[in-house]
Formats: sequence, C-alpha cells, structure tokens
Amino acid sequence: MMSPLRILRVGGIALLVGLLLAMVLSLASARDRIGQISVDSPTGPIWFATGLEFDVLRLRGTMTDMLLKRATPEDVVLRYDILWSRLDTILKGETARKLDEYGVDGSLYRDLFEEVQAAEQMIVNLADPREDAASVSAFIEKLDSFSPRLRDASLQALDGSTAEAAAWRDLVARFNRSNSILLWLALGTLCLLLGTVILENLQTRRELAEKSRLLAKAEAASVAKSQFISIMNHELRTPLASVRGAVGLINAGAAGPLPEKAKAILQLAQRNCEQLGALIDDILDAERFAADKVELDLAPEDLNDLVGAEVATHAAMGESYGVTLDFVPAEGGPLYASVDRKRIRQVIANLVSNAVKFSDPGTRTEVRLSRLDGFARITVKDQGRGIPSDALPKIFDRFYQVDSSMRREKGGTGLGLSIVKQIVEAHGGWIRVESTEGEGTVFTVLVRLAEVVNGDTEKPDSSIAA
Amino acid sequence: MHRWILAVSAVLMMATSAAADAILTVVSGDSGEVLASYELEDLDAFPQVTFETGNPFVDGTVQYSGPLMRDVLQSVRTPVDGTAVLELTALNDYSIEFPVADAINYDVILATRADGEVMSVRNKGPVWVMYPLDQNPELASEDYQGRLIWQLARIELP
Repeated sequence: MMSPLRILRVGGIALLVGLLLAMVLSLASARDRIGQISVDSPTGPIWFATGLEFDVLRLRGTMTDMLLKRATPEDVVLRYDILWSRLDTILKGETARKLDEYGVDGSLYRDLFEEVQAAEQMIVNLADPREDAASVSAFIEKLDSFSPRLRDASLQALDGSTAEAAAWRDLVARFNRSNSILLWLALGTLCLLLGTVILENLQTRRELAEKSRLLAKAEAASVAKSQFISIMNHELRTPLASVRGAVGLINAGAAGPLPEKAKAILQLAQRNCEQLGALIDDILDAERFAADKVELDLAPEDLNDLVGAEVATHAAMGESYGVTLDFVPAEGGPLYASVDRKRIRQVIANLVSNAVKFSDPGTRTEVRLSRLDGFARITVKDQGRGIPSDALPKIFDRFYQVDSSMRREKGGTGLGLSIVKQIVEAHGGWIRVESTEGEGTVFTVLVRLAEVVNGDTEKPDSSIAA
Repeated sequence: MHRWILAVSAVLMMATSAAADAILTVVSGDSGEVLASYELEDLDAFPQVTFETGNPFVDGTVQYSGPLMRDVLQSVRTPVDGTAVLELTALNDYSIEFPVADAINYDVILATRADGEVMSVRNKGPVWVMYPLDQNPELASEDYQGRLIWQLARIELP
C-alpha cells in the first residue's frame, strides 16, 4: 500500500518529465514552423505576382524597341513565350492554390492569359513586314490596361502573405506563452515534489520518535518484569525458606514439646509455607518458559523407574485424600527416553497431585506406562468429578482454573498444567486430555523413546560406547 | 587602340554567332570565357535519365528526361569540384545559386523533355533543372524547390 505522499511524489515526477518533454517538443515544432516563415521565398506567390508584372513590362518594352528597330521580332517572341510560361505557372499547382488562399482574384490572370493567347497569331507574324505597327500598338495598350489590376493583385498577394506571416507570428507568440505556462507548471510541480519530500521527512521523523518512545516503554516493562522475577526469587523465596526451616524445626521438637493446639497451628503454617514455595516455583517456571529460557538437562532415563518413583512419593498424599494410587509399569523391560529427569518428575507430580486433589475419597487413580510406535505413553486416569467440555480447551492456558472457587479449597495457581504442557512440548512430546463430567479425567502424555539398537532397548549411551 | 577594340568586338561577335543556335552555354565566372555551348542535339547525346515527379509548379506528376547535370559538368571541366557553387541563369535573367554537391548526391537532370515532348519556352523549356523530388522525400523543402530553375540559359562556373 503506497502512502499518499509517495503517490503524490511519483505523480509529480511523472508530471515533471511529461512537462519537460512537452516543452522540448513544442520548442522543436516551433522551430520547424518558424523555419517555414519565408515570405520572400523565390518560389513564393508574391514573387510570381510581381514577376508577372515584370515580364509584362519586358514584353511591352521589347515590342516598343522593335517598333523603334532596336529589337528583333525574335526578341519579342522570346519575351512573349516567357510571359506565356509565367501565366501558365501562375494558374497552376501550388502557386494558384496559394494565391487563391490569399484572396487574389485569379480571373485577372485568366483574362490576361486570354489576351496573350489571342495575340499569338500577331506575335508569330511579326517577322512578316506586312504586319502593321498598329496591331502591335493596340496589344501594347491592351497590356497597359492590365497594369493597375496587376498592381492591385500584387498588393493583394503581399497583404495575404503579410497576414500569413502575422498569423505565424501569433502562433509563435502562442507557443511562447504556452511554453512559459509549461515552465510555471514545471516549477509548481518541482515545489510540490520538494514539499512532499519535506513532509515525508517530517513524518518519518515523527514515526521514528514514536517508535523509540514505544521501545523505551517496552524496555521499561521488561526491566520491571525482570525486577519482579528477581524479587520473587530472592526477596520472597529466601525469607520463606528460613520461615519454613524454623517452623519445620519447631514441629520436629527442636524447641521442646509443644501443646497439642500449638502443634496443629504450626503444622498448618508449615503446609502453607510449602504451598507458597510451590507457587513461587511455578511462577518462576512459567516466566522461564514464557521467555524461552528453559534449558533441558537431557539424559537417557528408564521411564518405568522414573515415573514409578515419582508416583511412590505421592502415596502418602493419596492416603490423606482417601484415594487409591496405582502404578502400572510398561511390559517388556526398561523404557529408555532422553529426558530431563527433574522436569519429567515435575510433570508426573503435577498430573498425579491434580488427580488426587480433585477425586472423592474411595476412588482410584491409575498411572500407566505403555509402548506405542516408538513412543512411551503415560496415562494418568482418575475417577474424579471431571472437567466440563467447554473448559477442556482452556485448561492448558496460564492461570486458568476450571472453578476459581476451588482455588482456596484445593490450592494451586492455575499455572501447573500450562507448565506441564510446555515441559512435554520442550521434550518434543505431546499431551492430551479427555474427560467426562462425573466420571473422571484421563491425561495422556507421549514421549519419544530413545533409539532401539539390535532389537533391544538399551541405554543410548552404552550403545555409543560399544 | 582602335585595333584592340576591333579585335575584341570580333571575338565577341564570333562568340555570339557561335552561341546563336545554342540553348545552353557554360561560361567561366573568372574570364567570362565560353567553356561549352549546347544545342538540343548535344544534350541528347549525353546518356539520358528519366524519372517521374511532381513539383509545386505543375499539377500532378510529369515524366522528365534529359542528361545528368553531373555528366554535363564533367564534360566541361574535370574533376568536378564537389564544393563549388554554380550560378544558373534563366532566359528572363532570373538566376540562382546551385551547389554542385546536389548534382553529385542526387540525379539532378537538365530536363529537355516533359512526358516525352520537347519543352518549348512556353512550357518552361528548353531546359529545366529537375530534381527527383518524389524519389527523395528529404528534398521537399523550399530550398530545393527554389533550385528548380526553368528556361535555363546559362551555367556559370566559379
């Protein structure tokens, strides 16, 4: 999408080029036309009109000379023939057309031509001594009678060509005018272009200022976030650790025997300390994943061992909720996968504690491992209350909880499942949830198994060493 | 003194009588010496060139024929100076300047016939300098049209 300024600029440049071209063309054509203004051209109509007068006078003069015996009849014939050819020319071709255009009355030339032709016999017989001088004189008089009309016609031709020259002068002046208009237009366009350049410059500067302002703002926000995480890390966790340690020590009898009531209160305090610690860990994890700062410490592990061990640590929790916790390892020996041990335990801990927390006493939660086309499949299946279908797509979102009223009752931040999903995906794995309200929920995690060597599933490390 | 005058008049009379039947004379501009004079038959003896063209002084087109100007010039004086300018004069004393380069670059002819007919004085004869205008569109300018001198009587070499 071009900005209006850019369109204006491109248009301006095109206009400028067009105007310059038009100026060059009009100058060239003006030069051509000026070249055609040649009133005194020897082929011009005026020249013919005056030339005719001259030839009439010469014929007349030669005939007079002949009467005075100063010229021969042949001289007269030559002049007569030249006049004939002159009249012939003036009544034909370009000359006739031009004279007509100038408004010169062509009938004059036709009349004269008729008189000249009528005298032909007399001229041819001049050499004959019987030809009397009277007819020659009569012809001379006849020629003289044309003089005023010939003069008028010449003046008319001159007028016409002057008018034509004036028209040409007008045309040149018009060209001049139109060229100066073009020049002004070109100057205007140039100014417009300059204006657009300045405007664009200003706009670019404004945009740059705006961008740097936004950047500064974003940087400030990022700094604030880092500061917040640092506070979470040090200013909250460090004192919490000492509080938890102190409460733990008192509970363990380090300060001597306690009254029953105080013991119960302190145990509550210790549980809340642990929950707070877990919350801070979750928030930090979530931030790390969001910032893509999580680095996995990958090593080949037997998932049967790893998952079994983590499930076992939740046995006491299951008991306290009255939930039976079962672990079914995969058949066919160890299940090696390249994983971050700590993170996978975090995934299992999260899924199992969720399952236990949201189950009713007397129900069963089962963690099962199996093989599936090069993947290890871990399913965590409970008989709890289930997740409403409209909430299912959102349960992996950060801070999402199915029923926020349960947060206080059961604890949790709504961060756990989002962290679980990110850990599984960071391993190149895949997690899915299926649930029926009132019947229970099944979480399925797929993790790619390590390479199989010689038909046996071995530790990849040892196979490389071999 | 009287002898001189007689001698000069005698030479002049001879020159005049020799040129009496000639339709075209070629003279030297320096000395006025007659270098050549041609009757119609003399011009017909040159190789003839024919072309059809229009011009501003006739209606339609006409077929002109006659010897090439450059052939005639060559017969008078060799080599022909391509940069020279000749003075061509008509029967009515009208004269024009003619660049020899035109005769070299174009087939300019001394036309003696129009549509096969000998041209009378009435028809712009006996000699009409003709350019092949229709064959060379660049010649369509008043500069060249002004050189179409008819009733040509005299060629003056520089």
